[in-house]
Amino acid sequence: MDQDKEKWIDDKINSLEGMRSAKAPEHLFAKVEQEVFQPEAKIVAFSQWRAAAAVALLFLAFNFWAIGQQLQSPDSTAGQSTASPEATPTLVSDFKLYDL
Amino acid sequence: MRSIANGDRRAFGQLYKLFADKVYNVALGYTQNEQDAEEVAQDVFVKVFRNAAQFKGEAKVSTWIYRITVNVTLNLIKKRKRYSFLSFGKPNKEEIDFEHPGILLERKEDAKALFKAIRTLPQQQQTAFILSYVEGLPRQQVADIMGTSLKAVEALLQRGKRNLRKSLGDLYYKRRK
Repeated sequence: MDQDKEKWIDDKINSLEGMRSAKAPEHLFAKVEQEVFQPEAKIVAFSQWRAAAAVALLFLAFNFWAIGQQLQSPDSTAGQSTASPEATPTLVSDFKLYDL
Repeated sequence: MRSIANGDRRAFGQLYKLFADKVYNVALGYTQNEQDAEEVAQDVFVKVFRNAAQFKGEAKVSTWIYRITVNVTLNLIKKRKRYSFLSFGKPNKEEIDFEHPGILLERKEDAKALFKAIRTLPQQQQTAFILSYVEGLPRQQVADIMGTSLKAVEALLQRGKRNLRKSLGDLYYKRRK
């Protein structure tokens, strides 16, 4: 029984004798060449993306702040459009161009 | 290697011809899966091309390429193990019988059991065994690739064979049940 087992194991251990090397698939070189000689896509680092996003956010925030300031100020153009004509008498009188 | 570092397509083609089967054979011995071995071989040659300028000639080109092959293969195996819990329902690799295409026809059945046992070896013993017996490299080159001494490789092989006999012994009894 033990002899059987030892012989069985020996057969397995010796099964690599006379083996040949496996052959790489034919199409592999084309795949390697394609990867190696294809121009690499330019990858933008995540930190660069973050910096760009931060600048864009700052720019947007500044714009909102500026618009808000403009709307709140009493002499803003937006305020003028809703004001009555009496509020700007001098301006209206300046427009009498044909009053000779 | 200098020509390859300069992007010489022909030199790279020649290097590929020299080493493609060797790289693929080692990768196949480890992964026991043709698709994985192909993926490893592709990755190895891309790395060889991109790092050719860093090759200083301190080791043989073949040793350098075999070393890359071992590293790339071990990384792939690690990656596969990490994500193996996601492959619900698919048969486990340990359950698949691997048939190496270079084994003599009359020994194919015996070799299936041996490759199954190789998978159970600790990593260092596995590397020493595959490079020595599947790829048939001289012990000194195996030592150079593994960055260890000749004596250490011989010890690894001795322990590896002992462990293989043990695994195969277990398989023998399982088979008889």
